[in-house]
Amino acid sequence: MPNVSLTVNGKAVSRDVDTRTLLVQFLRENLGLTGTHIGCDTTQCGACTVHVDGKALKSCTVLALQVEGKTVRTIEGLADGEKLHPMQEAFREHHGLQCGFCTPGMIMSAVDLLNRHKSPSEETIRHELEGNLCRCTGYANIVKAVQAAASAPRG
Amino acid sequence: MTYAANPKFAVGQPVSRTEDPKLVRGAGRFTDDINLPTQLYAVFARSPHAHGVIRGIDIAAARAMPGVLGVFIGTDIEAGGFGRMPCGLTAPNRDGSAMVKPSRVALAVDKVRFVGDPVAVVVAETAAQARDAAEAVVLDLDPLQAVTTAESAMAANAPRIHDEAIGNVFLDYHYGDTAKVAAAFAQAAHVTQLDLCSNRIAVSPMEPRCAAGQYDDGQWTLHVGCQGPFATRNTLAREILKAAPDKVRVITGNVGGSFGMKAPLYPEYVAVLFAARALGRPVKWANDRSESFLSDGHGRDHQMHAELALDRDGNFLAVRITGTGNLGAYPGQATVIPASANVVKNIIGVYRTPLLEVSTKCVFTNTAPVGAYRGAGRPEANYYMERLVDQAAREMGIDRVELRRRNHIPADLMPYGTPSGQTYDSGEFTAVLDKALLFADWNGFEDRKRESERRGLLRGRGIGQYLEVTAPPASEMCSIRFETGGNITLTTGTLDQGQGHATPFAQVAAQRLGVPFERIALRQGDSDDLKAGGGTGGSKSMVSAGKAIVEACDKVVAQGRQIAAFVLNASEGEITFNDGRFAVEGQADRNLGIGDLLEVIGGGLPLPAHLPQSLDVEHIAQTPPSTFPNGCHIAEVEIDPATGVVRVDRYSMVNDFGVMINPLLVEGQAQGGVVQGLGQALMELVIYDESGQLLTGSYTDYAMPRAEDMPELRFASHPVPATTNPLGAKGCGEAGCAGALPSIMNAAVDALSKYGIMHMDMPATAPRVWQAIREKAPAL
Amino acid sequence: MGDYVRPAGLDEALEHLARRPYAVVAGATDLYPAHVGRSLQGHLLDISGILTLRGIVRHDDHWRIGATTTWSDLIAADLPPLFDGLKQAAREIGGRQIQNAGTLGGNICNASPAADGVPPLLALDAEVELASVDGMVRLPLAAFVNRSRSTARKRGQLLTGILVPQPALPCRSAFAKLGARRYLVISIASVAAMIEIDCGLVSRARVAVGACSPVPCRLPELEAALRGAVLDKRLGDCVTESHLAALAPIDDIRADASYRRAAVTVMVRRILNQLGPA
Repeated sequence: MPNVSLTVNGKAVSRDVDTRTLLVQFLRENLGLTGTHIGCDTTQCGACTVHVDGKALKSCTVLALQVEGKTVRTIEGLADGEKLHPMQEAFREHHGLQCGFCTPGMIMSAVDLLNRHKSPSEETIRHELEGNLCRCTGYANIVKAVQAAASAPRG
Repeated sequence: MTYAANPKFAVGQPVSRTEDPKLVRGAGRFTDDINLPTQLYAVFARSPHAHGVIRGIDIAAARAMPGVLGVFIGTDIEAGGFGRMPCGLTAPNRDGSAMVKPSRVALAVDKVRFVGDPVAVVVAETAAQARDAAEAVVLDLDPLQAVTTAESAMAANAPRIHDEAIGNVFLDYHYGDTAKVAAAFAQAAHVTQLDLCSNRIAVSPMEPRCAAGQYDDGQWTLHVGCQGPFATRNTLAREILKAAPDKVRVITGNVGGSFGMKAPLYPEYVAVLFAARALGRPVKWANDRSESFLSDGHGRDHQMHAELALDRDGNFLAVRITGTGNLGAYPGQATVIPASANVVKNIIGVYRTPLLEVSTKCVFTNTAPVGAYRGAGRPEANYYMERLVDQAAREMGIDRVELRRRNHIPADLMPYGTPSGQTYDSGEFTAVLDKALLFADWNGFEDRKRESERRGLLRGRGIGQYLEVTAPPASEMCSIRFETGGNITLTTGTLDQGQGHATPFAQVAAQRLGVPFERIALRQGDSDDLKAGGGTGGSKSMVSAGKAIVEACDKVVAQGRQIAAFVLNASEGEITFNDGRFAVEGQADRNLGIGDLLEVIGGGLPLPAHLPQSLDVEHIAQTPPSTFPNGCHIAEVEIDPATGVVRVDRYSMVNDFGVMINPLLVEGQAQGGVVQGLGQALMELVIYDESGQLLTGSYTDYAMPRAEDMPELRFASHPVPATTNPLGAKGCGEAGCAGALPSIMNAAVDALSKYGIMHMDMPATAPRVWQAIREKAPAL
Repeated sequence: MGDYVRPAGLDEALEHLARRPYAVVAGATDLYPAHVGRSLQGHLLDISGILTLRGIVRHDDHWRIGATTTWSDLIAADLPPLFDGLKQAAREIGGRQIQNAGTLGGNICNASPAADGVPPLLALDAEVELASVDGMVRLPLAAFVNRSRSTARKRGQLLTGILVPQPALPCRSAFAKLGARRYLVISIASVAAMIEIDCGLVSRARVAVGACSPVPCRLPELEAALRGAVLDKRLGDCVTESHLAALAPIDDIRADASYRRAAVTVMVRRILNQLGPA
């Protein structure tokens, strides 16, 4: 089996993997990082969104071997110890989640969004979240949470 | 340490959810996140044909594939002594006969009846190996003609799907006094009629179904996402495993949405348990989304002829609904309620309508079984009525607001007995409507319409005034356990699937007991904890678990009073309880908080044997009657006549959910209902071709609302406390759908009325709207 | 599944391709969806490690877009109005995560009738560059994407770049898409247009439509009719259904042919009206 070495949530990891292992399977099964969820098999739902070299990607569309040498950040790597990331805090405070299944992917997309847009309009937020499906919330409180995180002090 | 309730967590406060810090970190435990030691993986081989007689299932090649430990088919399961898939529900046919209940083996043995019908389970060391081997299972079929719609299934020459079901009719349902209703229609000054479709929905909670089965020395365990482990355990034990209930345990962790879909027992769950026993190792199965589209219970799929009889002044005389429900291939997993009893209960909504009649045929077809979906007949019935009202208003030249006001059940007639046998306890329907008109700026519409027209767009507005009859009474439990150190564990038989039970349940208990909210944790999802439990469904959990919690808290107080009397050296009758403190009446300085009592008990003070030895209680409550949440939703849509594209531009709702324990979460539930209603109204449709192949098998072809499809959802309340439960709460989980379907569709028809269009079927997709416009205005 | 190779250089990649068949992947965004319910089979050649295949470079008379340039790369690039339509298409492809991974080359090679990248590139008169161990050849894009789900790529060839001629005159371009929902659902129809401008008149127009024929195609009758037209907000008013003769829309579950034809007519008019005003 080929080997893949990469950095996940700040830690170097190296594993032998089956060639056809997708990044999402690698994260969930090889590393036990089950916060990244699988909600579809056509790259539509966005529940598996992670950051690869700082950019949001759907981890169901990438083979584990393709991220050789790269840096991956998952939902588990977002909080600073006990302290939630401002986006996680905003989702919590504004009831931006119900069942919580789409939430990790939604938060990873939202963080990526704010990395590129400092004070996004509601329209921009809705457009940018196009790659993530939520069946529970009606998106109202998700949009509210992203707006709140955008105006929260950073650092 | 103060051990008292903090008012910021009181009933009525918008407290953020206690489970969220875990969920936002990705630390939830959904079923697929659980891996059992030595676990194997199951993948199902499913029928690629909609209907056929099974000649043989060749598993030899699959069995020989790398990593494969077992391949099982339906005859193995039968031979293993497992019972067949149950169909618990019974309703009489209109002629009084019992409805037929064809049985189903978890893996099809005689025939396949829909595309996706599981025929074999392949178990291997890895999921990839199981998948490879499942592709090698060869199903030898004699194909039969398939029927996919209720109409074609009832046709004279239609193939029979189950031998027992003549004409493929599962239930021939009837309610009402036919003669009286016919007389009312005969006398009516005006009759409005519409053919209305409730389109078939892929329920699609974001977490696909998943199950892991375990068998260890006579003890069965199933890890599964469901809507109530107590009922699931009982059905499994009684009907399938033929085991004593204490030999079966159902464990549910986080559930990633369900909306009714995950409630029934599915064949895959039976198969993983069978395989676990056969192979002596735990077996896990996780559905792919493509399989979900094929094998999850679908929602809706009703076709109704709706009629409303009115007198000269527009007073409603009678309503009559006649039609069909497409139930798919198997009973059990399917449910007849949405197309039958729930139409009866919900059809009159907020209107004085003395007579009603509902006749529906629930029909088998070669499609996935159709089960409950958010509202399960409630949103549909409200949709039928509200479309009839708008149509009648248009036909009779009466303003649609005025026609509604004229027919509202007035608040001073409460409690009001309906012709379906319900007793509405409360509701101020005219006030709700008036508030909604203001909130939505109904009167500012003409300006907005002109502005839309300036941009070449049609604009329409629609009212959806709904009333839902939430789930009927059942029994529900609450136990309260005081842990060493002061934490409190509540256990209920309801089950959270994203609603957020933990927070409002704790708010109620904290307030009742005067204990710290932060110390209360909710435990759900383990059948071993439960002595009763109706589970969650039908918008009832706050009401049913709420009553159980309130009564359990009362028991805690009663026990505490006895112990406090002993400790304070007073008689029990002298002890008062206020704000978490037991005191001797008239001697405020002789008092003990619940925290003090816990320390006394925990400190080992010997209590006389006739006293309770702790504050812990386990209580089973008879849950209160249905509640009648209602409200008025107002939608405004813009339609591009050149492309047919429909967009909801404004959405405002005023709801009566009675006392809102946690308004933040109630609003979230309403918004969630609206988005599912908007999806059904404008985008979502499951399509089978004539041979029974599913054409909408992925999110590429099945459109679900995304963030950009949604308008801002404006929420306001007109709470009228329910009088039939101790909290005054009314169910809020499904109401959004009931308001959204009619308000959006009435708005779309209003916009299109410019062209003389009187009705649009759901979903009002761009091509359909364009087609309707073209038929009326070919030159456009 | 077979082997997975991820060469760092083009020559190595071409040698692999000469030796045996590979499925070529870069962003791999279509790989998983294309194998729903089935295991991945065959050998994979991952070209995302070949740095020279990524990026956009201006040459004297043309632009070269490397095959593995992602949609996000394109959106972020500083490009003239010539590329406005292509950028608009990029923003509507698959959501941000897909734009970060999916590549222009992949979109072309998949040859979906509904590929959103192809109409704007047709409107830009793009050519593709194909490399093999035998050397480099160029093909017009329209000749390369020649049938539904199929291209003229021969065994051993790799699509390495997309070449866009730089027009001599000032130009404008635009893209529009109609779907059951705008983004992730595959288009009901997509339209791209580019006009070159000379003294307030259209000196050249190219209009291309996706999802209304087996492969996206241009509308030569319309392009001819637009030549010499006055640039204003009524530029699209001249469009008639007869200009759309090149299209052969089909009925499917998303829309029927008559709707597609009518909607495309409206979209073409609107996009031209939008390009018209100064």
